[in-house]
Amino acid sequence: MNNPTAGLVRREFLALGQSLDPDRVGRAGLELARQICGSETLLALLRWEGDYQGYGLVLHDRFPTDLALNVLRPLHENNRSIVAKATTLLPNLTDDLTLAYYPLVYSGLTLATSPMALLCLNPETFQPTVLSELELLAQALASALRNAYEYSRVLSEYTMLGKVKKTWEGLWLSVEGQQKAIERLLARNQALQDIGLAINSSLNLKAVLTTIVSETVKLLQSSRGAIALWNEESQAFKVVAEQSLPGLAIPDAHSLTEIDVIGNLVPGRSLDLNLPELTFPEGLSEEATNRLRQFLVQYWNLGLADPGVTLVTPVRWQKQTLGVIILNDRTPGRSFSKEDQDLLALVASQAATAIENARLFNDMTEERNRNRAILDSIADGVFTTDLDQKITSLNPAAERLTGDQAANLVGRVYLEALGMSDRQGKPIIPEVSPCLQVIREHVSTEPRIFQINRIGDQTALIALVAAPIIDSGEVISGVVGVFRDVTREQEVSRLKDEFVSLVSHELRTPMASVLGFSELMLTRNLSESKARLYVETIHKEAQRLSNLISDFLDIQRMEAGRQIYNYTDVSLHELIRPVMDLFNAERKRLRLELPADLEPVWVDPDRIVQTLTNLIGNAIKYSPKGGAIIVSAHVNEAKLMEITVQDHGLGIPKEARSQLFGKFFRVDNSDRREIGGTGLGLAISREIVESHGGKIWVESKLGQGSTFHFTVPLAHQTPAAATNRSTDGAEAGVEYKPDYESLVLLIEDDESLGGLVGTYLEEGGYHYQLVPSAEQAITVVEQTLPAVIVLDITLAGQMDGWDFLIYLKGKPETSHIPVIISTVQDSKVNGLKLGTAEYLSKPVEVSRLVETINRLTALHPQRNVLLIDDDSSLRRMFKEALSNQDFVVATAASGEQGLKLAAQNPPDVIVLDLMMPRMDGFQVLSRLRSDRRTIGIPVIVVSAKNLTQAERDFLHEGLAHFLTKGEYTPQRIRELIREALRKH
Amino acid sequence: MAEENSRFKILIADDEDALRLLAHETLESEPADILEATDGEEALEMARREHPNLILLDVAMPGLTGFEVCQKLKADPATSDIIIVMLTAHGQGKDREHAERSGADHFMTKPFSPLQLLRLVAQIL
Repeated sequence: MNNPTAGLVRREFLALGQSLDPDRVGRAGLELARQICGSETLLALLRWEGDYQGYGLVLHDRFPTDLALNVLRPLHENNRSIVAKATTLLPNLTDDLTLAYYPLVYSGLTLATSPMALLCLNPETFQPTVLSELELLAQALASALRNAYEYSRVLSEYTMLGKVKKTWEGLWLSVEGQQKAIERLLARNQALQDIGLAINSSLNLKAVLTTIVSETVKLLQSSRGAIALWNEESQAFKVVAEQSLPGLAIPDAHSLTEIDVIGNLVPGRSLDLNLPELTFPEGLSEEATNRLRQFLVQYWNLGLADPGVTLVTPVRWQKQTLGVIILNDRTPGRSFSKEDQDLLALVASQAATAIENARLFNDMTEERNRNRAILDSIADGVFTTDLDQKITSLNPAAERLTGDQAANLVGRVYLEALGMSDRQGKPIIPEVSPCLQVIREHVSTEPRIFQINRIGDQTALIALVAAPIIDSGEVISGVVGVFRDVTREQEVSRLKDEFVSLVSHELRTPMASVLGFSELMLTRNLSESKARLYVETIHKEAQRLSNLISDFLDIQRMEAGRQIYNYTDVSLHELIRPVMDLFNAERKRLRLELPADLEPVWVDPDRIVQTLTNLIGNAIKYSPKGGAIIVSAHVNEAKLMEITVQDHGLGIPKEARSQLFGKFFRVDNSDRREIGGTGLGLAISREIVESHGGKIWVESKLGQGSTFHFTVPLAHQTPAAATNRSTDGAEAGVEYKPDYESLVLLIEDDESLGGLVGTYLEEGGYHYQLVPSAEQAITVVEQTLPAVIVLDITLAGQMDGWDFLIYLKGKPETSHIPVIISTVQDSKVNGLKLGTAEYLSKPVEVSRLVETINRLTALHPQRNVLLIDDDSSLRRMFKEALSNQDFVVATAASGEQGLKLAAQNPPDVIVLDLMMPRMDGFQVLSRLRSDRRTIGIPVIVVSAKNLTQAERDFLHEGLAHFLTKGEYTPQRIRELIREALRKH
Repeated sequence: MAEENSRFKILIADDEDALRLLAHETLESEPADILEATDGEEALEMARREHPNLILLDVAMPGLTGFEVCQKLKADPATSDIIIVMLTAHGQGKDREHAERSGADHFMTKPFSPLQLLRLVAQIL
């Protein structure tokens, strides 16, 4: 936000010029100085007259009386601002004061020393901010005082002339000259006032300067006038205002405003830069002087032939020359008098003030805009109130958070405008209102939680901090309130509390039985049957406790992404057996409808048994009145095994279905008494199924029963990795096992090279067949459909390697066979265009070849994809879209979870959202690339955001593919995944 | 008849089988008739019908909670004299306050010691 102090004071600086009474201007100046320095400071405004005798104007009654003006003479003669210990400069001062002395130097003034000064004596050292404010004040005061004195002078002259005129009139003497003088004085007075008014009434620099020029031209009866500002950087004058008397059109019909004089030299015209005697002001560089000459010659057509008379006066601020005011008059015999020159100097200083004002204003505007931009863009709501706690302004975030428009909120007491109540929704006692607290105590409040009523009867929880707005005089002028929506945080924290409370309740109940019965057993003599009953109860309850703890640990582990899944291919028949054993007591109700020839699935058997147990257990528990429970399975359209568990029990009310898979959720109604369980079963089942790349859902009719469905991938989708052949002698390494049954076709006309490669292939566990020509290869391919082809490009027969490749990729039954090109030719592009999987150049590194074949045979065709996105609907959509294809999709809802999953079970490719809360995609990517386990996994980054070059470079370095969210369609993702996998 | 009337009646209301059994077994030695209810509604109805001297009332039950049962009984002059011992798994703060506000006479936290329960009941009766 603006520093309100600076803005306020500066506006008041400008206001100094509004009065033309020197005394009033002086007093106002001193008052401002007091505001800047504080009341402890002794202030005086000095005006020197002739021989340094007496005070011209000393405007502070507390100023030491022994401090005669002549004591201050050394300060004055220096004519510079001075800040020093007072005693070093003024020995007769005993107090240890700091002195700040500012001569009121008026720009454009030709006097050697300024006749006025501002003197401040402070008991302490001045703060730097105070000094810079004082400096500014001195400048403003200089202009204003000078104007005022000039006005007084003109006025007294006028008064005197008036008397003379009266006398003359009394004598019936009409003296035309005197009449004219009076009129001129009046006009001059008027013009000065107009200029002053213009400066004070407008901060539009161009308008002000134009007024100044036109008034000056009128006042000094010139043909034309202009203000040109010097730009040090471009070494050019810019004419910002120009005025010509009617009939004196500007030659080249150009508009000079804001035209860079230098850039507009008319080509082909030779310039005679010789001008009649003309005095250019000091402080202008030679370059500047030349430019000015050029301007006068080129645009004002001043030449030796018709020079007219020209007056150039510098526009100075402090010691810097900002530009010039130029007047030219062509009236024959006209010359500018001393009086004219003084007047122009006065005008120039007004112009300097205007320019400086505009600069200050621009700075302020810029700062304000900057602050406004910050306020507009931050997510926190910000509002300000006055001392009545009424809202004076608020930012867009505040509008968003309240759901109301600023126009409806400003002017109302903030408590009422925001609809605030305490976090429980109870009204706030006015005494504890944060803003009131700030107004009373002048300190910021700690953040507190409140409830607000949003438009549309929604409530939200906010955390609010209020702080005082202190103005220049250490006085509180208002309160700023900053708040943010913490509804979600509060909800999360409430859920956490609730969860802990639930866990505590769930654990204590069985614990009560275990402890209670064992205490009874220890303290009582019991019959054997009683003792048995007690022990049975203890056992049952301890079992329950144990289940609860393991369920609880399961869900914690799964939610944290730490669950390790041991996938294998297994038949559903095998999986259901232990579950049926477990529910042996209910055997009669359980109907198994599994086809005998059901395809095997690719799952972690323990986890799927757990899921089946949960679902069947629930079906039993929630159908207390009996009824068949049917377990069936089929391969669905998406080529996933869909398993259903159907009961004919109580059914699930509609409103409960959405929460059904949440933690500790149990449908609560009176029919459901006696139904035990931990309340975690379905949450665990969902975690398990989703980790398998499947999904779980329910259909239910109240009173008629429920059917739970879940899907898991089929085993044949991952043949090489899935087959369980570790028994036939292969080393049980971390790598997948090469497929012994797969044949590698070597097409190579160099027999010895072919034999060498073949040896390595055999060592790597592959069969191979070597053929020397493409023609032969075609026959072999048609007969055997090899798993991989290693292809040399230069071949013995009619066809070369490219021809063979075209043939192979052209036939649907062979187009899928991966081809490894081995060649001395550097024609990678050709090969890749034709859909080759890999490219190796000769001499082939045989170990790489074997590795490549391993990879191509092992990972065909199903791939694991990890999708990291915080948007659950996108996750679901892609999971569904991709699961239909050759992908097993695991999802993670956050960067942290994604990293855990990726490290634990490295996927083949990762699809990563950039914009996620807490850990964003960039962080995830750099973590992936710094972890040995995930360093090489291809990453496809998706984002709705337009990336900067730096961000693109970062992604590029992280070897990530980038996709904007507009392109984020299942189709495009599939293509990219395939591409990424191919390159990999 | 007179002897019948002099026997105390204790109602145990808890949806957990094991806990009802525990309370029942614990109080077996007392010269009292022990009744059981498995949820809030049943507890309320039994209390009105049987007018027990004491109710061991679990807080977390499906349907009516223990607090609600307690409040209804204490609000009804016909049953307000029944001494109510609340049983809860939450020992801290809110539940205790809530029990007091509902008008419960005593408060016990699960897991509880059967012997303590016995002492409390003996003391009350």
